[in-house]
Amino acid sequence: MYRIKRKVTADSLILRIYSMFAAFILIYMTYNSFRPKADLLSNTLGIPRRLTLETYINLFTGSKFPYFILGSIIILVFSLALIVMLSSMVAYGIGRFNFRLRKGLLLYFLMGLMFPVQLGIVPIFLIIRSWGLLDTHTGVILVYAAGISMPVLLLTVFFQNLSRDIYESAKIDGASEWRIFQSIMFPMASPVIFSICIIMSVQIWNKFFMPLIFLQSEVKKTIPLGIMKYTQNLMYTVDIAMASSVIATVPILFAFFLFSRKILEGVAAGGVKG
Amino acid sequence: MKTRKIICTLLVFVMLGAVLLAGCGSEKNGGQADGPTSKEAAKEGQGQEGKKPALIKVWGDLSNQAVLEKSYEMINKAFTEKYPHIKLEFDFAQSEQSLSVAIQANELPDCFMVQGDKTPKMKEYVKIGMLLPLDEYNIDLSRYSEAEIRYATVDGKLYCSPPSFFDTNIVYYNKDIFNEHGLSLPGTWDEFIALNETLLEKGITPIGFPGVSEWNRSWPVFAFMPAHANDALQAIMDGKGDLMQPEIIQAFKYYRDFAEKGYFGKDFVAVDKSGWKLSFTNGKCAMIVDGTWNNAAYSESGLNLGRFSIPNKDGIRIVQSSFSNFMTYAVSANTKHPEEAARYIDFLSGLEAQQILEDNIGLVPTINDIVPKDEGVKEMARFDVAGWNLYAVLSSLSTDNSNVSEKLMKEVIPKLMTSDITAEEAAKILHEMATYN
Amino acid sequence: MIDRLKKRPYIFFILPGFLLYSLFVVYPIFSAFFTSLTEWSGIGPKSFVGFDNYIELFKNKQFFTQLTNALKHNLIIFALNTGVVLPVQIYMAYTIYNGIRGYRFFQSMIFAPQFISSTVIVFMGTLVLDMNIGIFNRILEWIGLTGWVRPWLGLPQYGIYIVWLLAAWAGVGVGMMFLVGAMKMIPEENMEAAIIDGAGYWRRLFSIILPQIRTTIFNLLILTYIFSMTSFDFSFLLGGVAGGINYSLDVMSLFFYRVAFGSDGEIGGTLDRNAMGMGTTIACVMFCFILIMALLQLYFSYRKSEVE
Repeated sequence: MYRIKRKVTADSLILRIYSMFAAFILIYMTYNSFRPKADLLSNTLGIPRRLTLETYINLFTGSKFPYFILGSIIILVFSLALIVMLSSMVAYGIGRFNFRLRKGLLLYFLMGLMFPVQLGIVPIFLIIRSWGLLDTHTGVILVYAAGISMPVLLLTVFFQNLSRDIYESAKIDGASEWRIFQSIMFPMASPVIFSICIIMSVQIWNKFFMPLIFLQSEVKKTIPLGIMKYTQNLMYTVDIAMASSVIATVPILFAFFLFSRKILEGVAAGGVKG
Repeated sequence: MKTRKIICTLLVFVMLGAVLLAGCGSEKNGGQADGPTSKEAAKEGQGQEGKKPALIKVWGDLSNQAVLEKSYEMINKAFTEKYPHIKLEFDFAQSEQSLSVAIQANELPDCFMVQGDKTPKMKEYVKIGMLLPLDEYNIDLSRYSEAEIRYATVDGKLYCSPPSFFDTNIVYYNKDIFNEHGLSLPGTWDEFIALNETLLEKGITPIGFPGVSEWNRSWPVFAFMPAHANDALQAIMDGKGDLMQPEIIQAFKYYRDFAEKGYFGKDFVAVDKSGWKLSFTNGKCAMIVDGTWNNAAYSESGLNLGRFSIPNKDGIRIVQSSFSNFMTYAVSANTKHPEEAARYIDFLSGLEAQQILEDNIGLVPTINDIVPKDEGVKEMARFDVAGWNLYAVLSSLSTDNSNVSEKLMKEVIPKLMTSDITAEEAAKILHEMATYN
Repeated sequence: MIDRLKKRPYIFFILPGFLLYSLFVVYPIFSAFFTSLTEWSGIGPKSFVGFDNYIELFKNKQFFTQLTNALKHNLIIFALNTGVVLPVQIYMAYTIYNGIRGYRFFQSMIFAPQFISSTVIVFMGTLVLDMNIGIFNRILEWIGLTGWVRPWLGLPQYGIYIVWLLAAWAGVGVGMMFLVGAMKMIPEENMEAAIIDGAGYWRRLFSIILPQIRTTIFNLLILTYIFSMTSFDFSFLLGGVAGGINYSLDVMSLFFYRVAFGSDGEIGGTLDRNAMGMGTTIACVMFCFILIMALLQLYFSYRKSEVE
């Protein structure tokens, strides 16, 4: 580590205030989720009369929320794996090789970001139905896996900026294209892939339009649908809205906290030096 | 080495995924046995007549799931007990968008929620042949009055279960604040104004008001309009009057005055619907004009709650009225089991199901044999005349090319509450758009 | 055939993603474009009208004012994101990159709002900023600034800035992590050399880091542009389908949504009977705006990188 720790505390102070603000919101939300409904409604600011775990117990025993969590995790894991696979291959193809249509192709892959998803829903619905995948997680996973615009952009730029020498030296060893990709290039891109994983997982985790259309039975729904259910009639279910938001937020954050530390440091340094 | 490990894990994941996906697919193709919860399994056990039970798919209103979930669980249980040969699959999956997609893809469930004559939608559905006429399926209509049946019919044919509950606006008030300042309920409109003045003098916001929320900010107009101008609205519906009648302008003027005089509080333009309700439940304002369908939420808030309907100058309480669509369902024309689907509609039209809903959420019933849940519901039912709903009146003056009711919601009301236009101008904007019969 | 594939190995890499993407992303866009050439309410029969919807969108005064107003708001959001959020992100990323004490905590906290759903963010906003029950206003009262007590979240004159602020607060972390990742990929040797040369803290940022992560910043700009132009959630949650009082919160996506799904009948002429036709038309126009700008950005950023 050759970076010099800066002594000035101004940066630290700014970041501290900013983080405190975010932490405050999270803590405030968590704290509110332990308050009974009547207390939240008629004594919003006041000192709590009592704190309770009832809301959480209700959420886990009286509703299908555990299914929502499961559904969200299944969808997240598989669509993320597919996205990483597909986008790194596409990006490698565009970034590594020289052919006439590459710029146009990159733009083609960017188009998906520019169009509101609500408008294209009917054709997608018809395809998913014809495959018999309505009301299954698989259908949603496939549609999500097609949303590779952003990962393709990021990875293409990465592969383009890699120095030619690395490609050439790999080729001299006589490895096949697939082998080069799989055992040299893909690992090298791991910092980018990691940040893609974070960004895409946040997006996938919070999406609700596709599940709203494709998942109908209660046991297949996802967390955002659950939160929507409780926030739509907020006065009736303000307690559950809080608790479900906490469950959707805090554990992931915790995982992120552990995760980022390991990979951001280790892999990033190793990957570039090759 | 580390990186290779990551790849391996990823590949394993993908392979696992492929296997699992294949598994999911085949399970789906294997029939409708997907996700059999213990409850559904129990239901199946009851259909012991040797016949395969007919599967009826019903979509419930997703946006009110939290309110209706428990009631429908009980209603559906009672239904399957009564008709063991019908297997019911009830999902809260109906939103405006999911329905629109289902219509376009021709994938409608057997039964779904409709809003009767409250919006032009049901008429359109009928026009394109989407709904099954229910006249020949023996739906028991003996308990219903003409108005309720009109809600459920298009061109003389029955298309959905008739409504059995009322939706109206009511003033909820904080009894503690009223008691503390020795205030009593207003018997006439002038007393209502005086009440607001008194509260204002004592430094209390009289009426909570959410300027941000398109529907909620319009409740006072909807409440004032029939209270002062019900005859005028009636005249419009009979084709004998227009929107420029002085009573209508007067009602708009009251709304504008309330905002201007500060009865709605300071900075009401920026209050959103959560802040609005919480300001009332926290005792920051004395009254709130809201729908009767939110009664349960306010009752459970721990507030010392009272309710009254706004009286007019002569002390007569005329409230706006529209029917509740919580239990009005239609049958898709494509259903494979019309008879069974119609039985579900019939069940929703019956007392048993309606009483379950009443006991759970406490709406104002329009049919006498439904027993009101509690005193609160009786309080809400304490009015003299069920008057016209402004939105419905304006809808009847709309055509394919001009939607007068939406003009009211999106432009006239915000401009009126911020004193951008006068009451006369408000009436004139609507009048010029309207098509009178 | 196999020989040809061997000569063009990229086809093998691109094909699987290309197929799935084309099927679920590109094909629906084309299908929507065809809808925009019809008059259609969303249910019932369509009738082909050519480019009439496009002509009407630009000729009808009501539509056109809403279109320009919404577009203006999108551009304000983009300008603020570029002028304020991006520098903040670079600043944050740089301090984290330098391993400031407690940076792990900071990066998690800055990133955290990403995981809270927009609905809950708005509700938390009410709990903090509301006039009657908001903590922030209680604090103002407590320190004696009673005159400042206002419902900050909903004031129409600040509408679009509040939309931007909430979105920025929720989204600042992603770009930041992005930049941190890019900074970490700069070879250590470069930094060592700079330190030995005696380059100061800020100098290192401007003369070494920024040039090296230039492409990342360009990409971030393109993405920021796209996200600013397609922003929807907070306008919808704060102002409803109507887009706030006098369209003070309106953005392009909301405008399209209002026409396509929101029974926006009061706009003269085309009402519900053409909701889908007009809605898709607006979305296609929006798509063109975004595409053209993204093309330009892409063109310039690529030309630059190829010159060097």
